[in-house]
Amino acid sequence: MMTRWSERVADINDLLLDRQIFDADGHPVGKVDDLELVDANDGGPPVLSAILCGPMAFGPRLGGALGLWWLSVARRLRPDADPTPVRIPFDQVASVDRKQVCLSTRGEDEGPQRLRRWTRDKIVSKIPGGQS
Amino acid sequence: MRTSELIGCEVVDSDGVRVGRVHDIRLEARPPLGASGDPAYRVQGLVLGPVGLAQRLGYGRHDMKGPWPLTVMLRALSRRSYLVPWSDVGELGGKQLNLLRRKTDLVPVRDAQDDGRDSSEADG
Repeated sequence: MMTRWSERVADINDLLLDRQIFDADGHPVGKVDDLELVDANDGGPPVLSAILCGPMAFGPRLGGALGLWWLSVARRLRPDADPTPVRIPFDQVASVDRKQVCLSTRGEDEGPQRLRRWTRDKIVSKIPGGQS
Repeated sequence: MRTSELIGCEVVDSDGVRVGRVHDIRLEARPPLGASGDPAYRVQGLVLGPVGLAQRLGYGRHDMKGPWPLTVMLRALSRRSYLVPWSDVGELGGKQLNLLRRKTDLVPVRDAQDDGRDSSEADG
């Protein structure tokens, strides 16, 4: 069976976690920090439903005091009050291999860019010369 | 559920005997089809055991080669890891995961690959 997935059976550490995500234009949009699983309605095993990325996804992965500290910093830097991590539905994934994850959508449409946009608008643009 | 909720969980068997921790989650692409028409990745099972280093370095796979002393040592370590099918996974309470099977009935991950993973890759 030919699919967009390079491997039919794989472990998440080997295939997905920490892999670079590229958008449809080939621009990097983040890394795979965690994965979302949902229960299947057919009574079978859970289905991989989304890629989670950004500091709000990476904190729980770190765990312990370091993870909590990471989360608290991420909450302070968030551009909005939404406490959820950036979520990329797996339906938007165009291909997966052991090196990278490619999306079928453009990065500007994705949540991973929101911290970058917030940093650019709120901090960098206020520094003398930061608007050039 | 997030995978970070499963990774690192303490695992006990049906008799309450400690088995180790969850080191990895094995996925399998199979129906139902997603919106794209490709099979969805579903959880096949959990890779767990007392030591996860050998698995993380890839020594649970047959094709992994390296300096022979390391290969011998890490492959021996990887034999202590188990692949538990999702159907044998019970309740998750906090950071403890209960299995529906006894530790003595679990299949080492390398033997499970001999039985299933390699053949499924050949099918694909």
